[in-house]
Amino acid sequence: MCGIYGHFSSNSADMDLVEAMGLCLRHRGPDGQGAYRAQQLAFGATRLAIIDLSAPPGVIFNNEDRSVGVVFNGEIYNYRALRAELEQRGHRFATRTDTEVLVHGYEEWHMQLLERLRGMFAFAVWDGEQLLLARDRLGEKPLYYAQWGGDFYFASELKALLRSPKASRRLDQRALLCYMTLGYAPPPLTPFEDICKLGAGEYLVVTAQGVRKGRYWQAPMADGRRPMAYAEAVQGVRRALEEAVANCLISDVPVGVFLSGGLDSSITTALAARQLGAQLHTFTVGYDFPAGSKEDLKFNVDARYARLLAERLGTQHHEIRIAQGRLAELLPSLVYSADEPIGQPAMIQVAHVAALARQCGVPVLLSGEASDELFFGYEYYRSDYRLAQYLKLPAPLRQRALNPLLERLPARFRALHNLARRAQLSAPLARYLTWTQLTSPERYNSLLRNPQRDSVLHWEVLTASSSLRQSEKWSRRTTRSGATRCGRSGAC
Amino acid sequence: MVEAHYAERRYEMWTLWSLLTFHIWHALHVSQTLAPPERLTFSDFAQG
Repeated sequence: MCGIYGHFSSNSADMDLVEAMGLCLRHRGPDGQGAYRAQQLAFGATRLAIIDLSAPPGVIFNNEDRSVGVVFNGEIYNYRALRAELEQRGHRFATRTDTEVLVHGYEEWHMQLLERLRGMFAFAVWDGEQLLLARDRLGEKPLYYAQWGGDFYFASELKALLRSPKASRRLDQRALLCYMTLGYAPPPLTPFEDICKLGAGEYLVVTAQGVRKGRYWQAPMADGRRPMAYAEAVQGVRRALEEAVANCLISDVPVGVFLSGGLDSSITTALAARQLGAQLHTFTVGYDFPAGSKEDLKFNVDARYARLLAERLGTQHHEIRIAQGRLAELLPSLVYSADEPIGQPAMIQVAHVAALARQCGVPVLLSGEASDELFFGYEYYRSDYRLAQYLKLPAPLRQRALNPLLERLPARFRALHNLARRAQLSAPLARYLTWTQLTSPERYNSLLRNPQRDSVLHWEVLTASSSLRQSEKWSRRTTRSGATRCGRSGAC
Repeated sequence: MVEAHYAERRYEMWTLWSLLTFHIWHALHVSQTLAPPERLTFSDFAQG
């Protein structure tokens, strides 16, 4: 990862603050750092070098008249194709980096550059008059921003923005309610009421006249398209996975895979091994129990699968064990690294694997994350499909006869109780939340200043979240189409 | 909640984790009663 940061002022940009923000983000870019100051703007970047290790860090000004500067975090997977197109149009490149494509691409296509990019990224482009900030289509790379007075600030992490004396550190009640329900605060919310995060597929244009937010991409939904034959779908998914893994392997530094031993990371590993063979590093995390103990057999089963697969594919396999006695000591550092509070303890495993990979000289890791959303790995997709089938029954039949009947069944029929309860929720988003929420908001009433008011607020915040609405639609449309019946093993 | 979880009367892992994480995060960034920790190194993880 890299880190980007900056300050746009209606008067004069504060270089001291920008340098302090850079120091705060140094851990994101161990291979160099640089900042630039114009009158109104000071911005910079810390670099983790992945492509063209000799390229300079910091702000890249490599267009022909050095009028366009960019700071960049991430990777542009189609940069070679874009570069070829730009060279045909007369642009001359000074480095082999994907970053430089942004400079020439902005010069050539201006805002339309965004629609051409494939990758995971957050960047800021400055052309002397306007600052364009953008985040990738699925929001893989973070980008936070704040407006204090007439000034605009941005950074890859909240921590960097907190370096400004203008940051209030006041909690956002709406974000807190979302966190307690979902385990995170959806954009634009952050835990702080005066700091926002840019959403997936969104951009900001910052000028002396103000800040304008827009969206350049929205996840397409399958409605209205012809149903795909099973064999065709399998081939399509296979092609997409092969292409995605090949794109992620473009690198001038060693690349590895976080191999958990589950289906998703095993597929990723198998595809990566086809290209890299014995050069591929795989990393697995297990738990520090005595070999052969009951706990070892129960909790290290995935690590054993990972080892088997690594042997089969001939990768360079590395394993680290989590010592439970050390977790309490590590936790403050892990929470600090995560930046925002995240209700997901997987950060423990991820941090261990990342530390091991770094130790082995592998700065880039692929993983199977987010595959559960794509391939219906969560049980609730299956349950939601059953609910969708149930909701097809006539409403009077359900409401007057079936729901009361299901609710009277003995306690061991909990799944049917839940079905009846969820069927009574009229809003699709409300039903979706019953599957995904960590804990219902009612349980937190004792923590709220005004439970009645804040419960209403909670619902308004959740329904206003475009990313949540998108997730709910994805879930509803895929389960309606019966896609969950294929199951994950059939999808690949 | 902790007692119920330990006694296996209710499964409270997600709620407890969320609250614990938020408590630490609040101490680091809002009340600032917890100083920003030193950057972790590999030996911090490997001591097990």
